[in-house]
Amino acid sequence: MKKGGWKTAFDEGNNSVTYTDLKKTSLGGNSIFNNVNFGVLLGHGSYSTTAEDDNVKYTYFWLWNNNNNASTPVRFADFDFGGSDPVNGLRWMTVIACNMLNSSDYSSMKNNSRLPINDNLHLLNGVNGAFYGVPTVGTYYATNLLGGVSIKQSWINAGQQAYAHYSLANSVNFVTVGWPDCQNDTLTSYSSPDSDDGLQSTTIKVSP
Amino acid sequence: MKIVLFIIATFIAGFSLPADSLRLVGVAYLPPTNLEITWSAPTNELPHGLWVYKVIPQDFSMAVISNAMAIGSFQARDIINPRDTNMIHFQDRKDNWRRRLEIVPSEGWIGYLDQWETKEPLKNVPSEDEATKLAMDYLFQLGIDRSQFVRKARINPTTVIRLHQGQKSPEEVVRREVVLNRCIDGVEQTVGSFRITFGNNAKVEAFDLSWRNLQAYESHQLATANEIIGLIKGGQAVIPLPEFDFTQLDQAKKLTIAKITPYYWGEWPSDPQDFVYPFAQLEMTADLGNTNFNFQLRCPILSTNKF
Repeated sequence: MKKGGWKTAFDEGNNSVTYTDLKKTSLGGNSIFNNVNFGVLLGHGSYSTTAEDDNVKYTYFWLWNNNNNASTPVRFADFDFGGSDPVNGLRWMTVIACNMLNSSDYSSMKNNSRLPINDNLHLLNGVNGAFYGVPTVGTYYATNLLGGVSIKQSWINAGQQAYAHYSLANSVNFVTVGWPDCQNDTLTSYSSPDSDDGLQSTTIKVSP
Repeated sequence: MKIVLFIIATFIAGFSLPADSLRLVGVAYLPPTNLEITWSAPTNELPHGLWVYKVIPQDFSMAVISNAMAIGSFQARDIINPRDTNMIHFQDRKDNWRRRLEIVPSEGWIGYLDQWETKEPLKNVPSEDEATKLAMDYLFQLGIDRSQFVRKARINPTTVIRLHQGQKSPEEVVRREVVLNRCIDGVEQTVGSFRITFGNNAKVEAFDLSWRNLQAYESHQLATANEIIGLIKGGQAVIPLPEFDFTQLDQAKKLTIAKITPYYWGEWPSDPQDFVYPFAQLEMTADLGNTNFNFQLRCPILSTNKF
């Protein structure tokens, strides 16, 4: 992305990624991704088969701590993606972790207005099911994005290209969720979201 | 360690092409030196030998280029890089393009993408059978010998769910991608040589044709069972998974090669490739004592003996 003139606002890993930085401001957090245009969060994720006390089935992002070699799950719903500033706000978010957009839990969170997508986010890219760590997925993603391919198609292409050389027994499904007006967004040409149109989620099997 | 290095050096020495041209992607696997590896895979349908092919520039005819342009509704004035001798590049606009056609003869690659997603209602997205037939028709238009695709097509659907005012729409298939793998000397190539995606009214939304021009470079006998076992023991095989937990495999008391299938290695259509070469995909069974564990290995398949 730097080759395309993009600047890194922050690049944190392991203990440096804190729950406080990630969670939404209404929960006392900083929502740090909302101050950049394009965000990528990489980690482990899981989904639930049963609802919590509020009758919502959530997905969870796991935060790693080097000090005790353990991970702590945080609700995906505790995040809030989308920046209101027309210049610096978050338009496109990618969460590279297993299960974060599990279809069943996604519906449950959506039906209870607990998705971490606000009216300012254009698109959220993620995975329904397993994601396998491959070294080339980021390279292919960036190459497509900088080549003028849409945000949505770049994510799909990255998955197809990165997994092409592997022999996976289980399918990998990439998902894009966002407002209809933003489905054709590219890094340099994009439309304002209109949340009145309702969310659209697109799923494609990128492997095998 | 010296023995391992000797085995690798011996293997490479039999080939005149660079060793890194025969790469296999996966997690490296070096079994314990005392682990027994036995062979029970049928070999009667394996060929006696296979070629390594050198990739030379492809010569797409004017008729093929013309047909590719027609698929994307391009005209000669849409070329955006008229001085580029490596690639012919069409776009509907110079910036913020919606449709793009790229032709790279050196790699035998033609890529087309119409990335504009309409808001039109779903209409006449072809079924799996219809999409497969259409894919074969477009292969013909692109000048490809369809007899070199002998395996069944793989179909990848794109589905959409819309959520509006609390109502969830049924899941709809908005496009279908057909993936076909080329066969070389009857051996399937990894990575789709032709991928094409159809949307509303069977409109082509994307295709990638990878049809590298192959020049016979070296012919080799296939490695014998003992040679393949030696290659595995020498750490030449890889596990074709992006992440692999060795916990179970480390407890193996014996490995058995249950099946061998030759493949030709293929890079992603738009990625460069100097040589197209065969390798073996091995179905392995690890004896863990009270249970078995099945996994795959990729391993060189060519003997150092030339034909």
